[in-house]
Amino acid sequence: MGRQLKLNLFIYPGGHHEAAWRHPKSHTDRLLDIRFYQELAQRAEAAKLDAVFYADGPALENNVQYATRFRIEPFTWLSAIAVATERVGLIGTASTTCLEPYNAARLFVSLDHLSNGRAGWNIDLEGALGADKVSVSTDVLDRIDEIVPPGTTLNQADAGHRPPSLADPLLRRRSR
Amino acid sequence: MTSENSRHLHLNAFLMSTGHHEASWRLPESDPQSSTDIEHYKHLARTAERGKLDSIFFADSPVLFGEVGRRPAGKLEPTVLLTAIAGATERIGLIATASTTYNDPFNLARRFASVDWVSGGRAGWNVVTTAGPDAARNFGVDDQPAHAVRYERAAEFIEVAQKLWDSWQDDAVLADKAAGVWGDSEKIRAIDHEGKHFKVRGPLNVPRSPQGHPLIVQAGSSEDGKDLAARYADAVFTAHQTLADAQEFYSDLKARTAAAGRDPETIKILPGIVPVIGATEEEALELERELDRLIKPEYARIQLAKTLRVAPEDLPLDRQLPEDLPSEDEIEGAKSRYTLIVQLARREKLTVRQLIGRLGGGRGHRTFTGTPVQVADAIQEWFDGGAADGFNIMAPVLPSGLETFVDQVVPILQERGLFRTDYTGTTLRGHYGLERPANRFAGDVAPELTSIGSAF
Repeated sequence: MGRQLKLNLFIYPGGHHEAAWRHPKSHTDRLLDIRFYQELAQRAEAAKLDAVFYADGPALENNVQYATRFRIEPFTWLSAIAVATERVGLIGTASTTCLEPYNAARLFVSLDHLSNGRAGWNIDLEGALGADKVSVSTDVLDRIDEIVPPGTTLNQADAGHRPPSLADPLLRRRSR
Repeated sequence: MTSENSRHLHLNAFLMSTGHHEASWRLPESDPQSSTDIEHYKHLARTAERGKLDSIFFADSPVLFGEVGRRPAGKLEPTVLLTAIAGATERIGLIATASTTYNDPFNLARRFASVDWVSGGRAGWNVVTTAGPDAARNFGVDDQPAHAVRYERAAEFIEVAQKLWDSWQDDAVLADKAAGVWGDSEKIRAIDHEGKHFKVRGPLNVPRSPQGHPLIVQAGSSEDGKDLAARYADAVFTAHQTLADAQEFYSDLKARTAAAGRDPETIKILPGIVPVIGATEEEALELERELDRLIKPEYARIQLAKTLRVAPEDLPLDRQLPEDLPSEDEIEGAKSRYTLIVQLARREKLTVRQLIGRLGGGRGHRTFTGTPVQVADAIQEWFDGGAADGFNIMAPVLPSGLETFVDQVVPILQERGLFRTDYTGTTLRGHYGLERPANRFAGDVAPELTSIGSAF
């Protein structure tokens, strides 16, 4: 068997299209119901996807009038999904800027226990660091380096995917 | 013995891995690996729910506690643990401890609002300020902030959390597909909090949760702790060894709550009790003796020495406590528990070895050993005697101690008319007989939100 695709279900409350929540088929009344997301994860699992994933940020984004901007906190959400599924991976986003390392590490290791080894951490700021022009302050870079030292192997199970900005220390140092 | 009392007890199951007794993990029946086993906790929660208890509760601190050589150490983070348990239960309340000293209000307010959504209104937050330099060193500081500063920060932390929980009015989500309006921007507002410890703009990115505010629990019994509870707590967990002490605490806290402008009925006081239950008194005593025999005194002495701020060598096992211990005012954390332990030892002239046995059950909480009827009597005596609105049930061994309590003590309390025979509400606030809090911003028209940037 040759290389195989990795498929991850990226869940936004109402779907990724801005106006998805307005579609007649969208379950707008269930967007705060954990069972809706448990069912999505179960369907992803039935289709043998690698993981489900929640983007996140600790702020209410703009235009709440027009779109489903709320974000339930992903650790608690994923923990509830963990007990409704058996195999599918559970990836949450957590900000290295707004969360203390001890608390973040503990939340992830707890989710890993509760899910029998299915937790993943999307380290926030990947997008910013992966851009052509990096404009992140020295303080923030120092903080990331402290939490995830340059050279840390972040994808042991899957060497095929190495986010360059995190895997390549040169891209993460000010001296690039 | 049927009580005409219309008051009902509130019972909370304080859960730990193998039980509250220091040596519970060494019993043949115990699984020393249970601290990370979700099935173990689901079973405990379902057992408590079968007994119609108000809630389950996990203590917590962001530090590896105690001697890893002595008993199972390391705990799952309680909010994610309770979320996992939420799906295995339907009615029971879910209370997690979280520190105001080593968290950020936005993150924590959000996480508890999320637990409230996932559980359909069953979340509670036990607010602690976290004593001790060990936790401080996990967060970039060498020593804990002073007691008064930690409590001042805690009060502001709760204020910020409550404002964030109110930053969405209950009817802020319109979800009008036809008109294309999802949220009512006049009902979602920045809180613009600026205080001594925090500057938080808001709004929260989670809509107002089923309970409005998750239940607030407080568990510190120092002067600062009681004042914090009087202002904010819906329920208080406390530790007392004698009826007189519990009565004094009860009337003091109810009076402080009234002085803070609140109805004293809206704060529920639950002392801890470690019920060591046997079919006969002799069986119960034998279980207690078996557990105490399994304690390793040399390890327990290290823990006691730490609490008393002395060296372990200063506590010979077969002598009473030294005379020259510091006073409560001179120490910086866990003040009320310190005084309780010293008073217990002095009052009963206990040797260090005997004191270790007494503390092994509940670390200062009252251990009560007897038959189911005697345990029910002990509970009723304090409940009728102006010392408690309910109890924090701390089974010495889990799951067996909770199963015995639910199957043998709860039915007696129900027969006496002291405890519910079924749930009447669906939320944790409902179980504790508390109203859903009004939104402080109700009726206000929020200024337009301006977003500074977009990141995700």
